[in-house]
Amino acid sequence: MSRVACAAAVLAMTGVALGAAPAAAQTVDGALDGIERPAAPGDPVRSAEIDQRTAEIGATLRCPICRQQSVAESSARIAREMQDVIRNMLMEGRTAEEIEAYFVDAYGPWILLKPRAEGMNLFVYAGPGVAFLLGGFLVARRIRRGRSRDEEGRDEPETPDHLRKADRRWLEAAIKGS
Amino acid sequence: MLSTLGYASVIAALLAAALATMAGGWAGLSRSGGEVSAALARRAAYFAFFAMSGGMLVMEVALLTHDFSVEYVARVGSRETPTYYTAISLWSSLEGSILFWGWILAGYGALFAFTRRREFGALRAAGERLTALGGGLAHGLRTTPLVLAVIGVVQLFFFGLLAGAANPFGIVDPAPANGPGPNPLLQNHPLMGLHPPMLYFGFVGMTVPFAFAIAALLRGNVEARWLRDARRWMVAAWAFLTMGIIGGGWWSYEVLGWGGAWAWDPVENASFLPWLTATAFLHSAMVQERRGMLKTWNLTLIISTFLLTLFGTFLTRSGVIDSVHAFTEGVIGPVFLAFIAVVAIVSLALIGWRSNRLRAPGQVESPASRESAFILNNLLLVGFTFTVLLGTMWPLVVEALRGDRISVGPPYFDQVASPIGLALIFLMGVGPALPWRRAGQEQLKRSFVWPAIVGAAAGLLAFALGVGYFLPILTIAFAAFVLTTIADEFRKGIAARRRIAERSFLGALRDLFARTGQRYGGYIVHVGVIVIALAISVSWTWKTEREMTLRPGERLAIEDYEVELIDVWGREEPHRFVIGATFAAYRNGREIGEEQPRINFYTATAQNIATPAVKSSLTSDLYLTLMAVDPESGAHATVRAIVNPGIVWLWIGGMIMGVGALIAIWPWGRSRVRAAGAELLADPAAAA
Repeated sequence: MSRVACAAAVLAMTGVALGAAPAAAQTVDGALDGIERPAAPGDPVRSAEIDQRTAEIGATLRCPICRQQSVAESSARIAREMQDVIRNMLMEGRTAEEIEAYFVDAYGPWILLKPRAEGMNLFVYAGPGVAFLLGGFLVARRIRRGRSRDEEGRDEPETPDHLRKADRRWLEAAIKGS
Repeated sequence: MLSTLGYASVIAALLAAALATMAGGWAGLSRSGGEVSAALARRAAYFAFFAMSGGMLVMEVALLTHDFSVEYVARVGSRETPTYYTAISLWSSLEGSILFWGWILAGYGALFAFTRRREFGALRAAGERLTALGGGLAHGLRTTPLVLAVIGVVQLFFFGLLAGAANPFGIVDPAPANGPGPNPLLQNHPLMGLHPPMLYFGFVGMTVPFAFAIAALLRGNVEARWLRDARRWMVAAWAFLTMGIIGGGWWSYEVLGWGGAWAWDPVENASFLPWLTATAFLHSAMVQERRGMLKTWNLTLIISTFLLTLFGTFLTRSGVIDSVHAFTEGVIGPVFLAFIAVVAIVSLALIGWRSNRLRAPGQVESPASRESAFILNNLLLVGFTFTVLLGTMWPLVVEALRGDRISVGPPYFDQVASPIGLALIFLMGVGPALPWRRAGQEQLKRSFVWPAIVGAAAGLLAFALGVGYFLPILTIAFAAFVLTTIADEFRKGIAARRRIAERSFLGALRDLFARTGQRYGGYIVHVGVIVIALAISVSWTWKTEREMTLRPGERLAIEDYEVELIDVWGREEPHRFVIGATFAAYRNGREIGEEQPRINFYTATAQNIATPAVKSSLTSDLYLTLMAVDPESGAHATVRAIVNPGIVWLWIGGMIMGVGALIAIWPWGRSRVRAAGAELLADPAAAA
């Protein structure tokens, strides 16, 4: 099979794949773009600062067809288009908040990899802090209580309750039986 | 034919597990149960393993001979899949993975029974003398069959799944001529044969400490002896889990193509949760061993660890979340949830029932003591567990309560994990240098002045050398602090051995490991953790990335690397098409080899999987992903190049952790069984 025919076959089936398995994390859908794709990062006409900020914002947005990958990481076509949108909006002088709001309008809050700290979601931010405070309080209390009841020699090993009658009977039976 | 044979094996194993449960329970709990029923439980454990091995073997034969009349083979097999991937497709889908799980569980049961096979023999040999020892010995002896009984209950659940909801041996009639093959992601890289078994050995291994905990509760014998045994099994399972998690990161790095190893994917989190609680237990168990405290807490940690392994399996198998690893099959979800609920309720009830025996005789005497450090370590690890669990489950909670879909992804987890991780690293430097009970001023000064100076110096040096970020500077400073305290511990330990036993340096080091492997092996594990922390911090901070479209002969330069496109090509393989590009890679102008990132197209499932090309070195990795090729002439390729500094040290750190765990559980020199037996006969008090 010639190289070109093989490539063509793969690309033809890429279309099938996009319909059949949109959730595949790594698709070659970018292949359809060829070299016409505008604005690759690192392109000398783009300023490094815009690239940097595009990547930063891209890292907080979910690639809609991927699993747990950000727009900045994913090579899926839609992720790359979203990156272009971010870059263009940045060049128009929009702020990160405006760009975020734009994508939330388009996709819902699901698009944000880090949920907004509002409403119910406050819990996911406050929860760990509350847990650590509560745990820290309990630990501190225990350590302090320990100090006040100090010096009583209470930490002798507990006498094991191994002389329980039932066990002794069991042991005798086991030895007789053997 | 194979279906019938396989199913018969599962049923045989199920019966054996039932027998082990009954006989073990009788031997452990009844008034008159004794050697006969204990031996029966032991034999039943052996037989369950024998039967499950038969079932596994039947499945492997069915897979390798492409017997599509077996339902599981028809689901995951295909004649075109290479033999290696056919063999490991055992764990590429739900039923096969449960079969594999059941086999390992049976293996742990048999291995545990085997390590305890001499107990009754020793009893017989010692004869009448032993009655004088009283019940302490009986406690130990009766714990063994009871542990087997608890393992038997867990086996009943998994073997029951195999016989019912997750039966891999269903019959397909008429048998199809071919199948779709395993999930492409799972047959794209040979590493797939490595980390899943490690994870399973780790997950399933947590059953043994759990069985110890339940047996101790049932017997009402919550003394330190069972804990020591449980801890050894926990270390082994923990080591497998560690290797599995690190190996999974490596697989993800080599296969998924985004240039990272950990994405806080729900199923990754599910493997991390029991790791965290198991790690907490390995530390807090020492407090109970030394000071008799934290009994309830240790039981809770063991039981939570076991529950979290079940929960992780539930997440993977039930399809409640979407993930790279999820099998998305919903039938057995409710069954798993029910089992988790039953285990949790029964365990809680047992702890409540025995609460009067769980009171701590000891007290924490000072915040500047090793037990305080361990308690703080536990607070951090359990808080970490809660945080990861919260973040993982939160989208489900919100969707259930409000119907909204939200995401909790890497930016959230990175933010919350960094301070917790740093605090844990700091404690790793503090804990080992603190004495039990309390440290005096003088002692604190002696232990910490130098490590603190070295740590601060390392941080300042990093800053002076141009490290401009807060997090890596802090990581480097803490790492230097921890490594200094560890080195100091070794120095002191070796000096002491040389003085007492007049050993050579290496002899003294061997002595340290052989006599106190738990402690010094643990330090080696800590070194591995430090290496990993540094690797994470460095690779995150200085990762660079560039993307370009190249014609043959054109070059892309990134950091000290350059890649030149040589050729774009396509190739047909039995089970897939491959499109790839060949690059010559240069580093500092010197050629370092050819790289071939590819895109694989799996015909049977119509899926594309990109395979990155990774050139690793100790300083940095060059990571190439093929993004696109020109459809017309095949003469262009768009490539994304990532330079990942220091990421190799993630895997190296994982290996160091494994070595440390091995040192901790290695049966150094003499047989531990014999040594324990001798100790038992010589000193009845120690037996208790």
